[in-house]
Amino acid sequence: MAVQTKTIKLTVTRYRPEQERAPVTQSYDVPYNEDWVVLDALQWIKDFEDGTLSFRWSCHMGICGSCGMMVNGTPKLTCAAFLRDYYPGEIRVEPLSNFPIIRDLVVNIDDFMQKLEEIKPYIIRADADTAPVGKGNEFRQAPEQVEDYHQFSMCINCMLCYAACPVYGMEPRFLGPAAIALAHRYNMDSRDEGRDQRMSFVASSEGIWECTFVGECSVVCPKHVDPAAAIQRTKLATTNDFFKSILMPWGNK
Amino acid sequence: MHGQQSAGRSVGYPWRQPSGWWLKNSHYIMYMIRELTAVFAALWVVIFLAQIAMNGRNVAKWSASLASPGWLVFSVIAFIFVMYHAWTAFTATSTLMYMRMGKEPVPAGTINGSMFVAWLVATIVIGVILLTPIFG
Repeated sequence: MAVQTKTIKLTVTRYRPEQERAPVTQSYDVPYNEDWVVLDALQWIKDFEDGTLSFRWSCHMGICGSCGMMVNGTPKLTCAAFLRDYYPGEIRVEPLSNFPIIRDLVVNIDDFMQKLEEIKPYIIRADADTAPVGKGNEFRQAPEQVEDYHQFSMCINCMLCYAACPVYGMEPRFLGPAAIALAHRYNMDSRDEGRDQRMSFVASSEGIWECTFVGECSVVCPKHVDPAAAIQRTKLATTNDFFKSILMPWGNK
Repeated sequence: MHGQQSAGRSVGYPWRQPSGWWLKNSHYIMYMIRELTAVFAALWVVIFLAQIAMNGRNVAKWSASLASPGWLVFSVIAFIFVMYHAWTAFTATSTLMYMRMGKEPVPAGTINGSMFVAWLVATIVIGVILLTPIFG
């Protein structure tokens, strides 16, 4: 006797530059398993239906940030989007919004990588080459100093915040949520001395001042980082710097 | 300054922002409403200043323009929108401000609440200043 298998319909964006001038959609009926996530369903399509389907993934556990896609119009890590949350409805899987599409569900992330490099997402020390190393010479931090930047250090560069940001969609020169959140993370680190180097990018008109505080970047973040807060706090800090430079030109920021 | 970025985006099928992007979810719609309420506040101030410029030297004419039904209706609508805009701004204050009291961060409710208290105090002070000449 044939076993009745539940299925769920996935409508996936396909873009094969060698055969299509613009992206199209293709639907697949995938076996429904309530423990499966959207990434499992895509993998099933690739294994059993169409081996040409292209998408990024790596860890399958919400760490690497590779498998971000639009699931029913919302930026999601597909390894954390369970089929059961959509069943029996259909699932629409599209590449991340606001990025050029290279192939199928794979987007061009060069722009983000360049911006990430610009904000120098690492600790900068003036004495990096001369500071003594070894036991007793660590840069110690109190728990409250860690608390100042901890949530911003949870960013996994998945770019869901960029896909959710309408400002970035309209103005791609905008530095964007994750890059600014990471700059803020290092600026708030008591061990860091690189704030001035980062602020030439972060405090520019294409940095924080492009943001109109839509706030959706923080809503979609799978790691509960609050990039909108990082941007608004940087605006406040920059404004303070400006007034201090006017009122106390002899002082330090 | 981000001169290299356009080169970084040139490979692939380009993204085009749809004009109806803000209808995509309720957060975007509320954002647009929040921004739109600021337009009403600005418009009210511009019209009010224009009334002063046109009729400021003639108190009777100015009073009549302020008492016109159209202006009153617009003022009530603008007032509601300004209240909403102020509420969204004050409830976002804790996002904007991060402060530590000793080792502990100041709770969001305390920061936002202090904004509403300051608003109330400012309203009372301005009200007293404006109403004292009328009621003595």
